[in-house]
Amino acid sequence: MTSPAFLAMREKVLAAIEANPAVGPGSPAMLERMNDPARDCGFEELGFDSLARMEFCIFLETEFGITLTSGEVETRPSINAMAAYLAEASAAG
Amino acid sequence: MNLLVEHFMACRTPADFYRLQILTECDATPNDIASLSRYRTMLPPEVSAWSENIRAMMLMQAKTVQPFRRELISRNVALYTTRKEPDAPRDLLLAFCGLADRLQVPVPVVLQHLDGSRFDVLLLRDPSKRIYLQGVPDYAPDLGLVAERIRRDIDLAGYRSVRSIGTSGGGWASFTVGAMLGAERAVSMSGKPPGPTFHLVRMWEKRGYSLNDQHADFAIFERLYNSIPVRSTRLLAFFGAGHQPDRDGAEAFEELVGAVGIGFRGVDDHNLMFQILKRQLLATFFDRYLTGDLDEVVPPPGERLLDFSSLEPPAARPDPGTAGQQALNA
Repeated sequence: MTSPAFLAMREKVLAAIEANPAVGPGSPAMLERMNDPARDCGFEELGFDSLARMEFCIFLETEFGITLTSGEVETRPSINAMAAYLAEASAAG
Repeated sequence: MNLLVEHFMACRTPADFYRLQILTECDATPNDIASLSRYRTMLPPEVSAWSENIRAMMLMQAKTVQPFRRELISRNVALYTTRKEPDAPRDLLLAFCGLADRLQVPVPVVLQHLDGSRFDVLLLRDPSKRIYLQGVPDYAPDLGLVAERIRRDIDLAGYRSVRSIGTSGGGWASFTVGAMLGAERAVSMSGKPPGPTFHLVRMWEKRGYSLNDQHADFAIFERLYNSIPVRSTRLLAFFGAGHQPDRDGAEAFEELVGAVGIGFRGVDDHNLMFQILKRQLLATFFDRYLTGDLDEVVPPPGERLLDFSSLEPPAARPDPGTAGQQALNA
């Protein structure tokens, strides 16, 4: 889980979380965990709900051209799971 | 064809759809959602599923769609009304959205659970995400001026009463503007005085906002509230009993301005409105705490943690014997 493609996608996922008005880390400890690829942080603990998932998809498509549905976010419910999914999808073309 | 349906049919990518879905959840009337439902076969399956979900949430406690229409007053202020002329006296409900520009649940869902024959709803939002510390953008730059502007824009004397509700970051705005306008009661749902949270401060910093230090503690609210010459508004601060930050927020409201904190047992997340909605009790909650006689429904001090069963009509409550047996079986 430390390939360049994974880490690059993880940065994009973090950017989408940072820009999301409805969610975010509730404490410095959670922020630290969010930023550490060796650890992980679930979307639910960041406060994700259906609205936050839609905002997340809008940001990724608008900023990075990554097309994603809310359902795909729901089934990859953490930063690392989502980054791995996007890295895999990108590699598959 | 309905304009909203046309907008949805013009969407091309998931982001296009989601933008419009979010806008619809924040702005639409119950009739808008019902229209989407009528045209659902023309919509992409995901959009149709989403609109049917909103419609199902709307109709949890009522089968007839309430005919609210929306009158835009400013970019971030809209009046929802079912008024017909001539009409019986009505009440005005001020509604302050939280950070997500809604009332924790989609606006049409909230409207549908209110008594449309009684309430006009003035919906206000702060899309700058500064939780009303600088008022309502494009309307008035602080809450005192928001109250003044409402006085100019709305014929308050034409209403039987003014009441107020705010969710999350809108809770303190509900109390403040409600009291400034002499509201009979003001409600906060999962709100807290405007002390910035870790998440908020980071967001403000990233957006380059320069909120000076006077905004960074509860004092601004306490000073502002206590500067209101006549403070007769009854303040109710609802919270999920298992959600410590919201419990702390309600306690702060109690200490600072004498609000009555009321917690619901069994709720450990921030979204109290959704928790009430999913138990099919939102209309009942509104009837009791926005419309009902507060002397009858506000629990006495020391008993301010409620079970949801307290919202159910007596006939719907489980027989105490049966409930006890269920508890033993759990």
